[in-house]
Amino acid sequence: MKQTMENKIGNWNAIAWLLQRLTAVGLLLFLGIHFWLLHYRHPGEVITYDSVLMRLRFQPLLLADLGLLIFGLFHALNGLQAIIQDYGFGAGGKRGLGWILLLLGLVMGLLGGFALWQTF
Amino acid sequence: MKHISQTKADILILGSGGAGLLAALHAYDTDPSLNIILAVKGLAGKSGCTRMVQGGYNVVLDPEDSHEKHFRDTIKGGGFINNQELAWTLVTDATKVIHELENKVGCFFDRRPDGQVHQKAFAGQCFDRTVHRGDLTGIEIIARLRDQVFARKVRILEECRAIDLLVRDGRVGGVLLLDIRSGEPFIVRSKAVILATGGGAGMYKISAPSKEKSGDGAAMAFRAGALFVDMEMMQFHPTGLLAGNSQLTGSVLEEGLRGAGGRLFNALGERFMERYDPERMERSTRDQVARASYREIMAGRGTVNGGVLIDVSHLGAEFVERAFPGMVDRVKDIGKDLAREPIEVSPTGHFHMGGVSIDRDCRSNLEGLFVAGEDSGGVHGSNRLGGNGVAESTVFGARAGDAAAAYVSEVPFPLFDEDQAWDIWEETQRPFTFSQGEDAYALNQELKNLTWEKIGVVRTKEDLEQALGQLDEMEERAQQIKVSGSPCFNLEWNEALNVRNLIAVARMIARSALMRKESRGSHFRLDFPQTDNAQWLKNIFLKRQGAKEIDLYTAEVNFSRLRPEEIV
Amino acid sequence: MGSFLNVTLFRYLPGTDHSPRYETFEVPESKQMAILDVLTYIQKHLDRSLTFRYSCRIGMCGSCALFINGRSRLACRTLVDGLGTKDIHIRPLPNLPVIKDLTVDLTPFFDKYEKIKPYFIAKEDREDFYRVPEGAKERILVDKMLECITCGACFSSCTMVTTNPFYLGPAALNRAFCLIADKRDGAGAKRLRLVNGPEGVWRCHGQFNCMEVCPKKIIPTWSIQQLKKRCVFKKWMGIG
Repeated sequence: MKQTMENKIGNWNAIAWLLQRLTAVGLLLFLGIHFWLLHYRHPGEVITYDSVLMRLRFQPLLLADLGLLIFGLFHALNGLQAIIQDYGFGAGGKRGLGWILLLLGLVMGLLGGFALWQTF
Repeated sequence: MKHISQTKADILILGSGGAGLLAALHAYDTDPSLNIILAVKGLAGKSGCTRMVQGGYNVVLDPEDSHEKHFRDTIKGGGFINNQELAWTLVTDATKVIHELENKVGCFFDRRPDGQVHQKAFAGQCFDRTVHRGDLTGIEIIARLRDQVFARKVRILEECRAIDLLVRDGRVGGVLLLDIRSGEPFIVRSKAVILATGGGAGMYKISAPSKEKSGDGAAMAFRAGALFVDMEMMQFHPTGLLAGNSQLTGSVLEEGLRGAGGRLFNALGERFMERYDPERMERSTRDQVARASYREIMAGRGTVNGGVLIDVSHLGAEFVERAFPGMVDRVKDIGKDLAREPIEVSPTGHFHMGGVSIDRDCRSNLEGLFVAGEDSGGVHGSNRLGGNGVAESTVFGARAGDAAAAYVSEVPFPLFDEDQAWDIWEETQRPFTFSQGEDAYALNQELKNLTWEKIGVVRTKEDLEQALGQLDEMEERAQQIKVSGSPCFNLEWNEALNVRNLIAVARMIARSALMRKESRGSHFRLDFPQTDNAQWLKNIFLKRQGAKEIDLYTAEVNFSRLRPEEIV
Repeated sequence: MGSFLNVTLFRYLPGTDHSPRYETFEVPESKQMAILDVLTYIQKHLDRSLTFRYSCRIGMCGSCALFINGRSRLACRTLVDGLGTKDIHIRPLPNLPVIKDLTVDLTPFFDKYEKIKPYFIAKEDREDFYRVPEGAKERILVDKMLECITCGACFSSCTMVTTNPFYLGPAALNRAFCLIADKRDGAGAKRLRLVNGPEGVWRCHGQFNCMEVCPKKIIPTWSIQQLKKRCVFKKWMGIG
């Protein structure tokens, strides 16, 4: 009984694995920036809505937060998929889980991206 | 009368060693529509001795070498009583089969620096022709063969042992088997049976074979009325590890050690081979070396544990560790360093040259029964060269597969006697019916001691006659073995069946050994220590007569290709 | 030697036992005793109903793999001395159904092994041997990993095998790698597709349990990592 695990998207397993590692590296960067900005640049600073708006007006920092959003969503949801697959779901070429998480990620990404864009 | 479940097959193969596996591949490849079943006593591709082969595979590859040379070595090693047609088939087919093993089966053998297949030196040969993979050639061959069976529709039945062949009117119609796990019997009705279960060298006190080898094939064939040849010829490998009560005792330290220049010493520090074969010393044939060691031990010059010493440390520790990694590792388990110190060894029951008499296509005298590998006899004569064993099992396994496939395409389904099967099954179950009786393990131990002392490396008329008397008695006692507990996966019950078969094989060995009043190859008579070419260039054939009597006769060797005088 | 071992064994007889139980035996210790020697002693002298497997007794066949004192090992190559204690606890291999006492059904293991086409498929019909210089890089890569004796120790130690019933497992993937890396084999691309999925290489998270227990010192994690690389870069590596 053979099982071919290729699907229509192609080599998505391998690409997802590669991207998990790339986003991990990216997250180091984006999380680093985020933490530094919020907690270490001005230690003890109170974070207000206005101060966040000010920060996000500066394009590079907006992009950094956008990066954090996208990388974080991908890494978390892909990671979640892997954990769920570790327990036997998604076997036999069943792509349902992947699509659901992708949809979830897209929705959350759009919402978040929209929120960020609005500040700009 | 209860009914035993049945299943049908075109070909039933018993055994999953080199012979059984290659027979399955060849039979299937000849005709993929065949219904082939392979039944094995243990786990498929894991039981038996082919897998334990360390040394290698003798085969002619080099243009400087020739089939004539390999043939000559084999005949000379065999004491001139080999079946010359079988031996010729062995050396010529080996070249074909080794290529098949690499190019089709996927084995990968060690290479020389220039990229060609490496052939190492092995004792008793005029040319270095032993192909190998490290010192674990057997695993490579068996593992790759087993993998190939996955690619084909062959039904494998594991932990199913054959109890008896079902014969009717001289034709083998099937086999009664025991499913060891459930303890239930079943019958496979088949057009052809390929017997490849391996021999009974495990009957000796110190022996090399794996646990399940108890001469089942030979015993069943005997009960079925097959014709046997050279049964007195039992090879003792000279360097079996001595490891006290450990299971490791008896396991082989390969011949390559001697081939590479290893030295043997007795307890007095003498290189005793000088006294027995000064020309070839430790690179002499197995029978010579085993006998020499045995005699040193019996003369009181053995070590404290009853062995001799093998020393390869002078070859350089690095070389030893590189060339024999498996052995170095195993010897560490008994707290010793093969690369740096002498190791205690002893002759160990190893390989049975004798077996069912076959033709070049593995046919026996029983219609429908093909026999390949150690179960068959005649290829090696009175002594097998190291490296010729795995060659034999693969060459003749392939031939048996081809021949059986051709055979079954021409014959109808044979009849078989269901009553006969039921009778056999009742007898098989009898141990459970006794409230007291013989102990299977104790009886086996008695057999081990008896065979070692009386039908072992050195034999005499008195010993052999006594042995026969005792074996007859043991056979009676084996019918009285008591086994308790559940029949599911019952190791004691299997031991009882093993003992029964070993006793049957031991009887054949003793009878033949008594008849051969000379010494040749592995068969040594203290009362007839010389080789007698005037009277004994003969083979001893034997067959069952009546219920269990043995009928023997001799036949002159047919020197179809080479006469002894032509070999100086 | 005078000392005794306390040996606790997992016992189970299907159809009779409602559930498994443990039994303890006292076994006299002898020199250089291996676990296999312990088991054969118990079976011969103390309890004939015990069932366990072994065949070659020299570490070549893999039949005697058992869970001994907390990890999967070969009974014939595990010395009592090496365990460092007189209390020995033996169970059948995890991740596999129990047949009786210490024997397991290896069918799940071999079914997965079979899925990756473990047999050599020649790239071309040859009459002669391949010329491969001794010490060639391409062989060194694979030679060690070829020594697998399919004992099941790695499979029984992998938690991914435990949680995911479809995961091919370390032995199957290691074998797949050996064949994919073998230049003589022609089915590399097909096999790569077979392992490139959620039941294949991607379930391996680099725990290295397999490496720790392998009696032949094979590192399936490494083989699987090589496979992952090939899956990602297969077009560039020429095996897509």
